[in-house]
Amino acid sequence: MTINLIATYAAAVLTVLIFSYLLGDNFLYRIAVHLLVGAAAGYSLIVTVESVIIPWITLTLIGGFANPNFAIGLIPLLVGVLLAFKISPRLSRFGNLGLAFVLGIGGAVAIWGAVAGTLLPLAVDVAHSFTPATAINGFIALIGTLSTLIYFTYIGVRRSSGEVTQPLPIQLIGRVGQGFIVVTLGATFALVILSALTIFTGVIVNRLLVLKPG
Amino acid sequence: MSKDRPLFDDEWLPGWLTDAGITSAGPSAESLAQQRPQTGGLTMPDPFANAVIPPVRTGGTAAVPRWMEQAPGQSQEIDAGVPAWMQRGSLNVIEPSSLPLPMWMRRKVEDAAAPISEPDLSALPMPDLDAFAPPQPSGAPQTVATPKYTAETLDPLPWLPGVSNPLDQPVPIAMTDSNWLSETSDPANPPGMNTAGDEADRNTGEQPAQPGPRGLRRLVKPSTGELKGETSQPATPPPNDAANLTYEAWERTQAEQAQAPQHQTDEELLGAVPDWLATVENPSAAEPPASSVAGGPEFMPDWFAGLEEQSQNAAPDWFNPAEIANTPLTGPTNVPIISEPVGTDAGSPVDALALDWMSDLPDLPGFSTVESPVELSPESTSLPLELPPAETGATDDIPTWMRELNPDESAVPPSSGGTPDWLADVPRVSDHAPVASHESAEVPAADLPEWLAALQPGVSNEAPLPAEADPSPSGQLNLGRNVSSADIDALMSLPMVSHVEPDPVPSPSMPLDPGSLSLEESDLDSILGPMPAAATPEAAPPAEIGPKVPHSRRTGLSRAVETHTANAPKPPAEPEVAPVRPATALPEFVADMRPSDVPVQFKIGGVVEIGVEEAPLSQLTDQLRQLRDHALAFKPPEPPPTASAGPLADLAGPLAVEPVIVRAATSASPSAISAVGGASDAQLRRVDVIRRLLEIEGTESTTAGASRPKAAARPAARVNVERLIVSLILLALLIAPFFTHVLNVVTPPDTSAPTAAQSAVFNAMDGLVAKQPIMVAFEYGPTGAGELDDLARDLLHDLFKHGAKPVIVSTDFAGAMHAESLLSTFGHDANELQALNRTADQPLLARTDYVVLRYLPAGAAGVRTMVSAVYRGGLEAQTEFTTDLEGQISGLSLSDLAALRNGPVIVLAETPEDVRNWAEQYRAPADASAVPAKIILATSAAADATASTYSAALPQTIIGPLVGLRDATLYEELRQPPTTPTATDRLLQRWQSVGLGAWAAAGLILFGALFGLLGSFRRREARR
Repeated sequence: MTINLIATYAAAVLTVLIFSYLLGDNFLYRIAVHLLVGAAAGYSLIVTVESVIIPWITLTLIGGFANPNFAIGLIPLLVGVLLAFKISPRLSRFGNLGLAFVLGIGGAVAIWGAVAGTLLPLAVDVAHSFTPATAINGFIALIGTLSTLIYFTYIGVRRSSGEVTQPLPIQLIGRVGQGFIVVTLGATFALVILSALTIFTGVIVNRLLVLKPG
Repeated sequence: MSKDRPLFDDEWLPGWLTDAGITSAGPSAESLAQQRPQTGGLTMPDPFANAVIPPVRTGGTAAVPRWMEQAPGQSQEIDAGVPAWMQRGSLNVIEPSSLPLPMWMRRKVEDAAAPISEPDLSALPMPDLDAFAPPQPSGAPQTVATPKYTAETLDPLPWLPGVSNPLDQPVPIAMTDSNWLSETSDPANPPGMNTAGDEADRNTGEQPAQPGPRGLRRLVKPSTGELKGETSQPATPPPNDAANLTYEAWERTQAEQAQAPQHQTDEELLGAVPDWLATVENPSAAEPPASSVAGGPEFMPDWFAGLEEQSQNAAPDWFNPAEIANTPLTGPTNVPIISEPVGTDAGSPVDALALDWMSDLPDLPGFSTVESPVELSPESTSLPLELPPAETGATDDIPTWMRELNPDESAVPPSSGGTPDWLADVPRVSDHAPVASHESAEVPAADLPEWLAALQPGVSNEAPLPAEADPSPSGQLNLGRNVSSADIDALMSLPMVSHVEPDPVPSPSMPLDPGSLSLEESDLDSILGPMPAAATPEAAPPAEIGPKVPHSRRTGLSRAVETHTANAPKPPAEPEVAPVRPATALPEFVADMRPSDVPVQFKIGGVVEIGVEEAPLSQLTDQLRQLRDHALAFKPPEPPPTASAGPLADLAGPLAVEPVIVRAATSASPSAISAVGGASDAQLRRVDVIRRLLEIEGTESTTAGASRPKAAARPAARVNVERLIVSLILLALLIAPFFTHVLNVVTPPDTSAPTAAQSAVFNAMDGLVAKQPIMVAFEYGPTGAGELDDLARDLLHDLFKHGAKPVIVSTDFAGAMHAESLLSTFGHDANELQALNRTADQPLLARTDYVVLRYLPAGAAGVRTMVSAVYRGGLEAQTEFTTDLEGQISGLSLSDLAALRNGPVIVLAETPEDVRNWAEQYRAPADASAVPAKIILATSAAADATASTYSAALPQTIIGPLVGLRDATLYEELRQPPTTPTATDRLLQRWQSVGLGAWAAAGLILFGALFGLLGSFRRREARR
């Protein structure tokens, strides 16, 4: 019995344990989940230390000031140390500095990517769709986009009864946008189901059918 | 009052000016005054401009500046006895005839036959701090004539040898003739409370309300009307005449006037009483002395105003040196102290012993060193204030109050009727309390608190000494060792000697705080308000002296005594030595009056911090005192008890509920609440919800004891039958295609012609060259392996087939791990190796045939870092490409980075977020030389929509996409036909399984929707 076969049996057993959730939350299911979570956490720690921190330290900090990358290497280390302060509730405010640095950089990168890589290309694509051949698609895309945006309008007026409601045009257009959203979510859900079914078939083929004799 | 204050003080002038006799005011102004009539009567600002001065004669030129010597018509003379401040530029010399006695003692008794009546002590003014209302005219009989001391009366008296102070000399005035006692009947002038102003009055004869020391001076406010009456003396030359007089003529007039009998009125005796009492009694005294305004021109020409000689005591503070030893005692240094009561044996003559002890008297008011030709004893430091006798003997040569200064006199306790009210409230000093002298006033530093010791010169803050070593009397002001005469300010600033020695007859003294005794502030509360709560712990409550004062008439002093009496601890049965208190322990009243050395720190919002110096209690206004008392009496309300159960459990304070509302909410209907509080409908609904919650909670709480054991037991797992049925159906439909072909209802994928996306991917893959590193992003983990592993395996196979070198990256640590596992399996798979024209002994090796780089942290930022590393190199390239997932050297070179820039990136994305991250971030820099990035998208079915959108929006960047099992099957059929039938069957079985499962899922969803719809209809019908 090779290690791969052992891993295959273990995977099959764990798969059955997961499927036991169909009978409700039970001990076997929790064992499988805890194993998955624990293994993932431990592996992430190992991967992070082994493939991120140690190479960084080796590349930048080893050698001290003789290393030209020493100063640069201290910056993420400092940010990391600040993040470590989040462990202590009393010193967590120092960790906010590192957290702000991480979130700030991440937000800036995401916004830049969203504007340059998503909004502008999609807007251009929708505009290009208004051709005689694709006029209907373009119109549907335009209506869907506008109505969806209007649906997320949270501006209302206060009625005499004191209730705050949206104006009637906004409500009507919002309903249309809501319909687009429902269709989109439905399609996405269907794709997710299809993906899940594919994964399940892959599990059957790779984890269960391999155990079938013959 | 201050309108004539000099513009500049002499002490500010440079030395060469003062040496030359040029001063801004004061003495030098006199020389200028000689020329004022010629200059239109302009006067120099002088603080004593409005005061009437005794006649002076100028003569001599010894100390006269040269420019003053040239002044015509002046015979200048400098007297060595003139104080230094007057010698600078002043040419005023005291009239020799007036030197032996002050002017006030030279007044002639005008009405010797005036009957002497016992002063109505009850009518004496009481300092009422609260009201400060104008006292009503006393109803006491004003039968006592005003004292009339004149030089004619006193000068012939032989001075006793060896007595330095004129006051020590027996006054040869028959008590029947002397009406000085009538001073006591003056409601505004209790005896013995001489102040600087009094002294100045005495020194200057008719000089009323001479400005005394600060504070006291402000309180000397004689009645304007009365003083105006005084100025209407016939002997006073009219102002117009005086203005036209020359100096010589005016001098003669003044000399004649000094010889003439003077009419002494009660108002003139204001100086014989404490000014502050005069102020209290006569509110109009706050006005400037009218006599000094109206009467001035009657006695002297205008040009001479302000140039008259002033006593040293009357000199402003800025004239006096800071050294208190040279400052005369001008104020009541021991106001609350009452020395030994004078016996009623007023008829006993004063013997020589009395004169001896009188020689030890300090520099009494009215006996200024300026005017006294005899050198004062520097050892006289304190003057206890005494009560005037109730009855005076007719044969006494000296006033009774002077005899009372003798402590050896008989100690007959004073009758209550013989003590004025204002003194009745003053605590008595022990009968054996000696008169303070500078020897006895010395207090060991050990007996003083630190702050007191620090104030006392020459006393170090050493360790405290035993209490018995303290010989100082209780409540006496410590005048210091070398104080012969002191300014009132300096005296008031001296430390108070605390009472440490037990007194056989406890008599609480009035402890005086130096700060409170600072009469500069003219706050009687500061004098009388603070009470010595702990100053004399062994002191007994003072005996009631004098008549009872109605509560409405009680003054601050009386209240102070009462408070002290009430607060003072009871005297011990046996006199005990008072325990030595630590130096740092301050009495409470001292602590209240003494501002803290350290500012009180306040925080505003927890951020701003300010320091506020704490003011002594005596300086607080009545409103602030009331506020302070209110604040001290305030007690924060007890926090409401926190609920132990219910929705408000462990919450207190902010949710304090009104009992009315609670009762209404728990017992009555919401309408009742609306009737009570006028709540809106929304509030009523909330109240109703809370009421129901409370009801439920109450029900639960009543049964909590019984239900607790059951609650501890974990509920048994409840099987969701519907979910189980759906799951079993899907499971059966998904597994069935692998065992039977009956359920193969799904059309197999068309492999005849690839789609455009598939063709683009094929073309991109076909463009790869051998040994070209191609970046492959494994953005899926084991959870997406079932869907994307086939596609990934196909792509990797194609890469290896083209001789490319996959460089695996991942923003998911599980993806990198899974990629390593997959490549390891793939590289050792014999079929795959055979398809790649490799044998089993030529597996695909990491870092040689492929590289699994480290995982990219931070998601989108990690992708951006990778882009920067690929296109810019540098440190980022080193960190990203130097080591692999296992921490080993990856073996990549700079040429590999260039190849990465030219080749596409294969992204195997499981989620739409992964697609978006790579589609958005993996972009070449904006330089023209950079090769546009190419991305081959291979996604799961869940990310199909996102990938298709990006592919449509970014056709120049996105290649593909290849989606899930469908494109994997197609890719495999087109590019990598299965080598074995089993593999082909597995691929078709999976396709049918997924297809059947999709159909089943769709059917179940529709069935569920219909079932739910029907159920809702049924429930609606049931409601109808």
